Amino acid sequence: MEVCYSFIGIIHSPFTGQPETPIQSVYSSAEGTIEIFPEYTDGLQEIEGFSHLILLYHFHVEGPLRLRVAPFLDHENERGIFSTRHHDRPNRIGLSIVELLSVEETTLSIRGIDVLDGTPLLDIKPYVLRFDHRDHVRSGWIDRADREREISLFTPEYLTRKREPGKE
Amino acid sequence: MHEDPIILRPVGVIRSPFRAQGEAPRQGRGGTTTSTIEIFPEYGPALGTLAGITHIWVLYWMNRADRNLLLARRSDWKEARPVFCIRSPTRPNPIALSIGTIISVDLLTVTVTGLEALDGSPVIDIKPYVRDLDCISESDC
Repeated sequence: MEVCYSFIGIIHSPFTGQPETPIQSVYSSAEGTIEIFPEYTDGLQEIEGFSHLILLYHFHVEGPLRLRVAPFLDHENERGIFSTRHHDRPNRIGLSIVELLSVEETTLSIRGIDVLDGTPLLDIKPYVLRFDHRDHVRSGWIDRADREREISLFTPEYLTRKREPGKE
Repeated sequence: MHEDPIILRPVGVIRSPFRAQGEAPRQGRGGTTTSTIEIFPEYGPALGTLAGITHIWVLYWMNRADRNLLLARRSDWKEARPVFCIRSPTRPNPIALSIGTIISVDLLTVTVTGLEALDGSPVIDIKPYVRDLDCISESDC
């Protein structure tokens, strides 16, 4: 069975290189916009009623297909890519939860950008607390990783500098 | 103007007792019915053991969805609603996003509760569900 999708829009981001791109939207205060292609704008009506959106998008920058990776937050240990949010995954599909700031016709302004400029968008779903919240969540190695929540732009570059202090 | 469609390659398939739309609970919440995610052998290394992970995002393709509508109406709604404001299968790219609570992981099989997927749904991706990333406490709904 052939499964194929087409892009519904483009994410415009201040980030053009991966080292400077926040690794997850919760670590990002960066703002950007989503441009929805004209043929899909009827699906956007009333979206301003939601404070947060779930974006599904395509990791469009060419990279190897990997089944195991050493993630940014635990670079010394390789693990199955399905236990990470790494981009070099089969089907290269990304998920981010962003804050919706405003809507102007076909342009959505958002905060919490963690993708490269020009990232193709596959879907928008409204974030709904009673659907998407779970209690008693444990996330294995992620819970053990050192995450400094006060860092507003948690990038691979920052993590590298943190691991190797004094090295450019 | 837009790039060619991207071809997805399913990494597995969902086995569930739900055979038709309407049999599954909406958004899967509160459900205790188990489903299994069978990962294809060539993607086994990507799965690993999911050690210590209790919840996963499961992305699967809703192959019976209508991709040509931008407004959709549930049977109990008075009027149709724009697809990007609802969680209906009806949307240009019918990628379902579901949270599974892991019961067990056994080689290539992940047993979960909480999925509303129909039997035979192709799996596109699995990601760990992380409280700090995925629970937005201040959202409006």
